[in-house]
Amino acid sequence: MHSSKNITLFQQLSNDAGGGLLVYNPVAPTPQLIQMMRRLEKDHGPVRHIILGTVALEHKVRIESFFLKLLILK
Amino acid sequence: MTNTLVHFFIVFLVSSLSTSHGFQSPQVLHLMRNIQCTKVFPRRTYLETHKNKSYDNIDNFSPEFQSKQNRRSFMQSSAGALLTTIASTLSISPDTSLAASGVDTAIVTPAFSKELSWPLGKVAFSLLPLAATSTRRATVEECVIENTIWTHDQIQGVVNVNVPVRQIVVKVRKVPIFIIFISRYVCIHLKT
Repeated sequence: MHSSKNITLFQQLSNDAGGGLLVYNPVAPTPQLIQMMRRLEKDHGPVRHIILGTVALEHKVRIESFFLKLLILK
Repeated sequence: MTNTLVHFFIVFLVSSLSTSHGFQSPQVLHLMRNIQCTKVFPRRTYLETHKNKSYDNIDNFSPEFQSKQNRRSFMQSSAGALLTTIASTLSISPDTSLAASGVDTAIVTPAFSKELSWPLGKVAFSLLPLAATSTRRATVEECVIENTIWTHDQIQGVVNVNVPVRQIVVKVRKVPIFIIFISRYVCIHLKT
């Protein structure tokens, strides 16, 4: 389907070297999804990486709000 | 000749085996099962509802009384039908609130709440009628490998073409370099 792939990678830098979560192709951050992610973060460490594996617009739109809601507006 | 025959047989066999469930993964099937919870009640015609009514009682032949009797019997029968539909819907599925209000044909949709909405989609796609921007956008979480990989599925689409979108969450261990095979073409090396 896709001939080429541009990949965007967000990485949260932190000093402590622990385990964390990697999110590939984030979906829309509805409150339900954020609740699920918070539950995962509580058990398995914070979200460290977000990868966007597509250049399509409808996928790119979601990543910014996902990034803001999950990593910055904690 | 035998080679081609064997090849044809294998291709035929494999295709017939694989077409039993299509190429959908169990996660997608699970999602579809969750989404398709619509139920259509059959519409009953007037003749069907009054099929068993007997018309051979012609003792009271005055038109006034007859009309009254007809109206009363119609009201009684309709009330009875309504009660039976309410009882049947309550016994089958208690969450069909639309059917309980006496509507014969009803497509029951699950409730929409703020938990399932993503308001930014309205701004971003205000010109394009994308699905799940003003309608509900439920998420299905599934654990693929225990304590390692999870998937989150949502629906997105235009008008009547809806596709599931999947997010994958991977737990990163304390390994300095890890490798993910995203597709058969792409391989990423990441340094933590």
